[in-house]
Formats: sequence, C-alpha cells, structure tokens
Amino acid sequence: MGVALASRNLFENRTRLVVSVAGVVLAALLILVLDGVLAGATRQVTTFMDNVPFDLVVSQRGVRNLHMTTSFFAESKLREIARIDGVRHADPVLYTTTFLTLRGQRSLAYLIGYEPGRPGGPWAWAGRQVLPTRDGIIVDARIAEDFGGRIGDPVTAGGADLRLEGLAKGTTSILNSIAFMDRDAFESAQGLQGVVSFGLITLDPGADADRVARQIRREIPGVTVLTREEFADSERRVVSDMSTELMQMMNFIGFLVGLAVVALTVYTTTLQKLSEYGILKAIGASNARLVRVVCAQSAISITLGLLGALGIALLLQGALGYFGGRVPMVVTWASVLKVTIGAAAVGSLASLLPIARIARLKPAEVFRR
Amino acid sequence: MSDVERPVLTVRGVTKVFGEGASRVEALRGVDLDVDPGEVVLIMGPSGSGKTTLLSIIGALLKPTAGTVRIGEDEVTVMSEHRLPAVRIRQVGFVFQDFNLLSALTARENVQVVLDFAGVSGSKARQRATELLEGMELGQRLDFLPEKLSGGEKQRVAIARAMANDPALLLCDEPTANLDSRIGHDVVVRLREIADQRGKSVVIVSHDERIKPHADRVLWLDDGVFREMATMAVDPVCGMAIERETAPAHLEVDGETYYFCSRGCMREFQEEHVQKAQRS
Repeated sequence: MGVALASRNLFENRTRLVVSVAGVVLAALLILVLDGVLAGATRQVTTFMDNVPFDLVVSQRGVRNLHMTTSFFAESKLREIARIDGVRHADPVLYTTTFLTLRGQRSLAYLIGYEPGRPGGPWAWAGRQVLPTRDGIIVDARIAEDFGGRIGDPVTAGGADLRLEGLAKGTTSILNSIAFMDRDAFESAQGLQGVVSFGLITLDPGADADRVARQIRREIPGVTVLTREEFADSERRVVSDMSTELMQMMNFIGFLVGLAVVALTVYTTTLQKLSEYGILKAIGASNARLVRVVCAQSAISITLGLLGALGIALLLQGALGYFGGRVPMVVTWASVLKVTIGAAAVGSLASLLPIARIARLKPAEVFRR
Repeated sequence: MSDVERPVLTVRGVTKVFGEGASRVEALRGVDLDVDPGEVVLIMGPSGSGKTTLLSIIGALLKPTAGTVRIGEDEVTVMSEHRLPAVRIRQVGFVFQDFNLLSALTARENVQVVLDFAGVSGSKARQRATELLEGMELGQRLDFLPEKLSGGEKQRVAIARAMANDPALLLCDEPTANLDSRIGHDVVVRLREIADQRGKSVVIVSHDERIKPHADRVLWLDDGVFREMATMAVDPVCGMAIERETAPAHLEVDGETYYFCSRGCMREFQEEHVQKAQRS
C-alpha cells in the first residue's frame, strides 16, 4: 500500500511528475551519452588492433601503443623473430602520426606503411578494394567525403605527394583517421632504411603465444612484445586517461542536476502532502512506514527517469549507427550500472530532507485547522 | 471487576500545560473520565475549553503534563513514542471534522491503508474494506476518489476507516460540523449504532446540540475542567457557556429561566422578547 500511495501521490500532479522524471532523464542521459561516446571512441581507437590480423606485436622497447608514440627498431630483428619456432609470419609496418592534406584541408592521421598484400592494410572498403602503389594512398572514406575528395585527387601525407587510390571504411576515430600507403614509399618519404615501427607476428596454428612472446623477449634485445589484447588495452588507456577528469566532472554535474531535481520534487510532494502524512501518523502509521512512502516516491521518479534516459540513449545509439555519425555511441552495461547506482544515491539523498520533515511532524497537528 | 464491566477508557488527573512564564496556558486541569464499552460520551464546551487537547491526549497523540490515560489494558501515557502508533492503529479509531481522507486514494484504499498499517494486506484487506464501506451504504462508491464524494459520504468513509481494525474506542472530533443537519444526524445515528451493536465506546467532542439526545452522557468541559452539565447554561444572546450559580444576570420568561453572561445581553433579550410579544 505504501508503494501504491507513493505512486498515487506522484501521479496526482502530472506536471510535477513530468518535470521530475524529465530532470532525471536529462541527468542520466548526460552521463549515459558521455559514457557511450567515450566507449564508442575507445572502441574506435583500437580499430587497427581489433581488425588487422596478427597474434603478437613487436615494437621499440617501451612502446606499448600507437597514439603519440614513435617506434623504430632494426628490421634485422624482425627477421630473427621470423625464425623463432612457432612464428609463421613477421610482417613489418612503418608508422607515424602526420597531417594529411586533401583538397586544401588538413586532417590528423596515423600513417601506416605496409607491404601490399600483407597484414597491416585496410580491412574494410568503401568501393573497390585496391593495393597501394608507390605514389598512392588509401584514406578513410568519411574523410574523403568530408573534404570532397575523389579517387585520383592529390594528397600530401608524411612528406610525400601522393594520389588518392582507395577508400577504407571504419578507420576514423575521435582522435584522427588511419591512412595506408606502400611501405617502400613510406621509407622513401621519411628517409628511413632498414628499420620498422612494428612487427605484426602471426603464429603457427596451435602455437603458444605466451611461449613465443617469452622467447622473443629473451632472445631479441631492445623490443617490447605484446599480445593483440595488451596492445589494444594500452591504446584504450590513453583515451580513458585523457578523458577521465572530464568524465568525472560531467558525471558529477549530472549527479547534481539529478539530485536537485529529484530532491525538489520529492520535497515539494511531501510538503504538499504534509497534512496527510500527519493524518497517517495520527491514525497509526509509524515513521518507518512513512519513510517507505517517501522512498518509494523517490524510487518511482528515479526508475521512470532512468528507463526514459536508457530508452533515449539506445535510440541515439541506433540513430548514430544508422546515420553513420563520426563518433559512435555505445551504451555499455557498466555505464548503465554506474548510472543506476548514481541514481539510487540521488534518490536516497533526495529523500533525506522530506524524511527529516516527516519525522518532526507531530500527529496532534492533525487537529489544527 | 469483570472484563465486561471494565472501562475501555480511563482518564485520571490529566493536566496539560502549554508554554512557560507569561505565555503559560493550563489547557486541562486534573481531568478524570471513564468510558464504558458501548457508551457514547459527548464532550461539549466553549471554544478553547480544552476539548481537542483532551481528545488528542486520549488518542495518544499528545502527552499530558500530568495524569494517566489507560485504553483497555494499556497505559498509553507511560508508553514510549515508538509504541504509540500500534495503540493508535489497533485500539483507537479517529473521525475528524474535515474527514481527513487521503486525496490520492479511493474510498476503499483509504480504508485499506489503515488495515495495511495493522498488517492486513492484499485481498483480505480489500475484502474487509469493501464490507465496511458496504455497511456504510457506500458499495457504489468504492473506487471513487474523495473529491467525487459528498460530505456525508466522506464522513462515512472516515467512520469505516476508523472501524477498520475493530478498535474498542472511537474518538470523534466535531464529526457533524461540516455537514448539513440531515447528513449530520445520519452520521450520529451511525455512531450510536456502532456503540449499540458492536459494543464500541464512542467519545464525541462537539458544539452540536443535536448530538445530545444520542449520547449516554454529556460532559461540559470549561476552562480545562469538567463541570456538571446541570449547573451550566448557554447565554441565549451571545451563546457563551456560563455557570448558573455565578451568572451575572438571569430572567424568568413564561415559566423558563434564562441565564446571561452580562446585563447587556439580558437587556437585548428583553427588548427582543417585548417586540416579539407586540408582533404576536
């Protein structure tokens, strides 16, 4: 009956309920969308690690990710690695962060130099699949579209004047995009010789990745060996480290907005019904029962708001996916759990003031007219 | 003394003082009262005489400054605050002047909520609430919100709510004040029936003279003490309650004695009486 009374009290004034629920929706949506965008961005930044086929990656000692790093080690080491038992291929990749210029517009890009036909190149295409020639470059289709670029257009990247040869799909992220070119052309443009940035190691079927990694570390000095998951984790951490403070701040703001709205609603609902709480006390309701009614009011507001926010967030996620937004949004269970816990905290805090008011209410006041 | 004869309500030496120093008000001064099962007691008195304070203390809503109140076996005046809700929900039923129904709940839910407080819930509570309301001839109004009910219907819902947990004692604060005379009469008759047929004790605080014939006893509370009803009179001009013995003026007209609070009221009464006589 307590829950029924709480819901009737809330639904009695539809406008107030809508304001309350909308407040919770906004607060929760703020957090869900930010988390979703971060999750989407995080997923994007590991797209290279997630899609290029390799089991282990070898880099210059100490380099554990792509973003804001430089990695070079002697190509001879990669040849030694290729001879280790269990290693099927060891494919070289050159890498730098650069600006690519297309139709007079510049865009930050990870520039990958790979051997055409070997691991390290694009994995999805917009249009015809191509292998880069010595003067060609493959850029993300979205960048090309944004800049109005077409196949054959001149592109400047990594100090080389190139021609747009192909359009890759799924290689943009919140930070930049990935462009691919021929490894030899990359070497020439950058003035490099006999070095690689990363070695993409493919193992024999059934080979033990940990054993091979340990052997590489033991036998090949000056390199770092990571599994695909470790490499992706490091990249993810870079993004999350950069956004942690922002996310914490926005989460806190969302928490405060939700708290203020729910607290105000529950308090005004309680104040409006104060005389009825007095009646309930007079006819025998204990404080504990009335506290349950107030808490149920909070819980109903919070639950409705939370469900509304989740619904809108999922719609946004679908819409962004459908319309191909540059930054995808991914609503994760972890984010939903966090928002739910935060909302429960908001509901509990919002109930404190009305509960204190009711606790002070004297049942004899019911006779005061 | 057997259980049958034992009073449902025993009030002994109840005193209630509000405020201190210059603002000190003695609302009740050593009030004693016994109410037997099945008895209807009407407490009358001028405004500010302490009626509502007494009702609040009897209903365990207010602690007296001194004295004791016993409802059945429980001496409520010595009970801790957290035990009082259980007394109020099981042993006392309240009927208020303003009905005091919960506006968001239907008639049936208003009764159910009290049953729920006593631990009766679900279909059992629904059935009991329905029976009580049907007993009050509200079978067609079970799912109506209070705003859709007439004053008399609201008060009948309030009586059903008060009876929900089968309490031994009903406390009614001006139960007819917001009702017209016909509906007010109906409410009082129902309270009388509850006392007669179910053996409940009913204490009514009211200014309504029409309740008198339905009460077993009428008590006059004035200035915080009960006075003999026989020694009290009401000034026919200003309506003030006065003691016959100390009344400043009195007048005998057509074999009946009228008592006045002042000579001014007496003169006014005389003039009206003379004019009436001349007209007739």
